[in-house]
Amino acid sequence: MRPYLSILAMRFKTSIQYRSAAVAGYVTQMFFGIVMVSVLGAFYASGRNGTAVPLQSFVNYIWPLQAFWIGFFVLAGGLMLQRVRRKLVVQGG
Amino acid sequence: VSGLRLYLRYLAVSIRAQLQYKVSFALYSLGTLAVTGIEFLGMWALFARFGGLLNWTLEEACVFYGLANMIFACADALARGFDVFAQLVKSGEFDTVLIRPRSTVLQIAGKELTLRRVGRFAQGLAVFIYGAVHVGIAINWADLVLLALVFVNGVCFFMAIIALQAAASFWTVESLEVFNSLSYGGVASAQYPLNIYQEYFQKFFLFVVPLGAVMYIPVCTLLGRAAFPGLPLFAGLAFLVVAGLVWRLGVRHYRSTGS
Repeated sequence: MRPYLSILAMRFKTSIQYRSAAVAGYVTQMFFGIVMVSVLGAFYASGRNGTAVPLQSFVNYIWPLQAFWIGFFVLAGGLMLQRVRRKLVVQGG
Repeated sequence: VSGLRLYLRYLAVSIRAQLQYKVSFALYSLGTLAVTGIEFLGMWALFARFGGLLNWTLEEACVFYGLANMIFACADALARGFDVFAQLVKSGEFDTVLIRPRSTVLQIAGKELTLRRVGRFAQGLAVFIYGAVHVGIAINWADLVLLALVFVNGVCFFMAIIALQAAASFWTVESLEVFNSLSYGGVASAQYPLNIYQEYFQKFFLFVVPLGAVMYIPVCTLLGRAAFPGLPLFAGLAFLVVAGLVWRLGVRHYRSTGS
């Protein structure tokens, strides 16, 4: 667990080195959030058939999803493929 | 060797290289097909639930959705070199590009023609055909010409976005993910008609980033819907020219990285 946490901390530090890029990543997730909420909102506004779930619940569901999406890249980033190709797996680096 | 010949040779090499890993290619294409297919199921489910989207039917939305995905798949495949370009700036490898006696655009664009995008393209094509047959478009020459123009301009537009993202790394070094909201986000939003979004969002995509002018307005004309005061036919091409100018500025600004 300890080595894992320190690798995580290292990766986090590298990824916030380029501050503008980090902020930009967040803006992107918010953008997708706006698109999703708008699409759902428009469907609800056309309201030919009703649904059991109110729009508000959907919106409450979308924003945390977008906010935590970034974690996916930090935890599961595409580094593995590069390591296989560059034969870095055996070195554990 | 002329520029075009060289470019085609670059592409041939790239295609041969990708086909070395046949299983990877097949699985990757299938993967994108499945992922984007699920996205479509989501849209279909929403239409099935709500019965319609403002004044649009499912078939009309299919035309938007299919076109957006086909266009983006092509642009994404053609501009792959620009997509991964920030890495070249970061590692200083761009220096070697500058040494060679060929234009930078040619070398970067020729880096790869990403075949596996065929998954997204196939899915978009299927959805588009379904929609087009049901609403009855693309059956006369005028429609086909307009459709071809939408396609070419759309591909130009998304290539321009990806090239701008690459050019931005001349200044920022790290790739700016914010451009993803215009490329991937652009497709995501263009899958639905523009008029379902908030007013500020529509204005942004019409006047700042002309995706609405490239796709929404001409497609509305195709569908015989909402009339507009003008029909922009070359907005995508114009946007690509702007991106080219920014690229040149960026190359001039490049000072290499490292100590």
